[in-house]
Amino acid sequence: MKIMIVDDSTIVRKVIERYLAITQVEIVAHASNGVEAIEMFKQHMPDIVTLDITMPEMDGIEALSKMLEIKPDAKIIMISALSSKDTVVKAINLGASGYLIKPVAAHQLTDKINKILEAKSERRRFKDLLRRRS
Amino acid sequence: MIAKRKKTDLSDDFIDYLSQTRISWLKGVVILAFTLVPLFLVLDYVIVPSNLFPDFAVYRFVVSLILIVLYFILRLKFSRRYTAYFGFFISMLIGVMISKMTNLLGGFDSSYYAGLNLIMMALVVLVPWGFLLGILIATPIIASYVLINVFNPAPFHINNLINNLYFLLSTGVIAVAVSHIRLQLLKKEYDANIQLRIAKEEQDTIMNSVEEGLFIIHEVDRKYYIGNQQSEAVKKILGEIELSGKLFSEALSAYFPEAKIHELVEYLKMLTVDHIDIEDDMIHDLNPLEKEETVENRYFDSKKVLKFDFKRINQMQEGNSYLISIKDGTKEAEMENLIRENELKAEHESQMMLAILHQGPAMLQDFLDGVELELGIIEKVIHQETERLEHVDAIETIFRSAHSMKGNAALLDLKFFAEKLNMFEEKIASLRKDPNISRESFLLFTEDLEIVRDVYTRLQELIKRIQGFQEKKPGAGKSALESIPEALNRLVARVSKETGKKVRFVANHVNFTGINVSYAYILRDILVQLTRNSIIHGIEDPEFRVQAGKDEYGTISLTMKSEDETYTISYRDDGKSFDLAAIREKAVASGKISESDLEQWTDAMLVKLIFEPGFSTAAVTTLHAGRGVGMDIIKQRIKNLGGDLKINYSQGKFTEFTIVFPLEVLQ
Repeated sequence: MKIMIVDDSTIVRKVIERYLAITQVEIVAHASNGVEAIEMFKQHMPDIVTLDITMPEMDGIEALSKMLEIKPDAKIIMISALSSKDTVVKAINLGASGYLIKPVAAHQLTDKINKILEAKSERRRFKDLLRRRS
Repeated sequence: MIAKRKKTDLSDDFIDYLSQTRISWLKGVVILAFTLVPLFLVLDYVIVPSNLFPDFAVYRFVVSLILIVLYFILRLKFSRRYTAYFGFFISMLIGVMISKMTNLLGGFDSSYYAGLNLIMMALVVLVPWGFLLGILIATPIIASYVLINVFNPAPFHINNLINNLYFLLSTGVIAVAVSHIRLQLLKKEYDANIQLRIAKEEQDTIMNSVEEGLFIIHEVDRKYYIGNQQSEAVKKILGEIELSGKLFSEALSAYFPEAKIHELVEYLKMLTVDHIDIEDDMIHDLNPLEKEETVENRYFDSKKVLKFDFKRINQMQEGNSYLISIKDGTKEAEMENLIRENELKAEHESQMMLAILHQGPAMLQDFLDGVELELGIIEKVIHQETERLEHVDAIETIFRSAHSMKGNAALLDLKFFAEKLNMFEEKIASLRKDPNISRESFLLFTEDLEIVRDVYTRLQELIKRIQGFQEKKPGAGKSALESIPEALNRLVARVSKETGKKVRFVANHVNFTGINVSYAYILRDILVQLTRNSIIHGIEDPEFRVQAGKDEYGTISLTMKSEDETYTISYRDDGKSFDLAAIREKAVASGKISESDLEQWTDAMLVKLIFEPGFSTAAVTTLHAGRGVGMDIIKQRIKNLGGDLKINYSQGKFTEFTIVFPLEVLQ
């Protein structure tokens, strides 16, 4: 599993990197703004991205849409401040796979990644079944 | 209690229910009967010998008539108690009629008995009699057939009798069995109804007594609609709004601004996404209506703070449902505000305390006297004498008073008060630019004045308490006027620290004792104003001073002396003095003086501009300067006291203000 970390703060990037060191994922790229993120994304095609919502040049929402256009099955985790919950909602509606509120704790990040890596849950499979039948 | 009632009252209730059901069916049977009995005359016409036909017609006519009468009796309420008797009577009536007809047509050999099967089917199967009553009501039909044909015998084959009885009895058995099953089913149905009713009652009790507004929203095609039941509290919280079946976000649009509703729509959309599982903590974390103030709306009088909670129900069904609970958080929010206000108040109190401890109660008292004076001036302007004054002048006067109070509050380190006055001043300043000011405009100041008055009262209270405490210690406290130089010294220290400049304050023969108190206050205000101006506009940054070959420290000096007829106060700083280029620029920008005119002006004329109201060269407005009233206040007040103000300056070297008063200033 390849992962890419996007955040305008070097400290946040370092922290996330340290959290991920104990997991099985491989960190393939970093980026500090949206434009750079898209470049790196195209180059490395990661499976998972942690994406900061507020960044210079291109914000997280726009970067999210671009990434999903390039690779629709990419799992993107939004990293957000507490105050921007409406943006988180928007991101999920656009296809983000989850969100974490700053400051991000190690277990939250690894939990989220594990959940994303798990196969479809029972509930979702059941819902799919119902939708197909009706 | 409900459960108990279920046990004791069930039988009575059920019997009632059963009688009603039986009556309904009986009426149906009777209608069938009085329709079919005459109709069978058609059959009779074909198969009955013509000599018997008139008799048959009479039988049928009479029975139909009795049935019609019976129908009307069944409609009466009392008949409910006698359903079995009616059943028995109908069975007997039609049974006897058909048996009699069979007898006339050849007794046991006649196939006319088949009609008896029909009656049994209709009367016993359709009406839920149960086992015993079913037998009782079927019996007269078979009995009348046997008895009539036995007592009025005709020759018959025994085989026919066996065949007919066999069929009749079989029909009877089937009819009774069905009737029995129907009764059992009816009991079950009744039980189920009772359970439903109890459940509904319990639910109603809950919905009527919970304090939260509760209702359910259901997803249909990715949109959420409100369910048909709402708890009573919904009306209390949301007012008389009809919610059932409405689109959830639309129903709430009456209460929240458009942007909030948009957020809600996005949130609801998120609850239906397929690509991830929406966890319960997400539902909670991202809730846009966790605690929201409503807008003004037609459903209640004043704004409320509403708290919404979303709880997912029926997780495994297609189309999610959520239980919405609403609480009125207005009181809670008010509480929080109150606590915050009290905390602020406590902080103000401590600022006041510190000010009193630092400066001494006398100094603060002195400040308060000043505040009272300024408030008096403002109120006079607002309330009565504005007719004579132009409104513009009135605004100017209020502005000067507010500015003066602000300066003194800052001087005493009453930060919160200085901030409030700064806001007041800004309000006045914005009004100053408004060409349409009128008397009504002054109403805008009511609240600010109340704040000032409130601070005044609280501070006065504190001072009294502290003075009461200090009076017990002999020798404490100095007269307010005596401590003016010290206050100026502190002001210099603070303002220079805040502006990053280095300034020294030197007082020569400065003694305010002996000066008429009201003059002294004004004199103090003037000196405060001049000191601030010096540090902010006049004295240069330390590096600049060193480069210009001056001492790193700027010096402000104050000298007082009395001569024959006059009393002179000299104030001097060794700053860069007036920035003539800036004054010129400002003068042009103000549009009052044309550029070509200005070229003819001497430097002295330019300097005089600083006494014009509203003239300031400071770029940034701060608590300390840059309001552009400093100099005009000073000039005005000195003139009012019968004094004069002279300026002496040298570009880049010094500025000196000399204030000359007539000797009457001394008591």
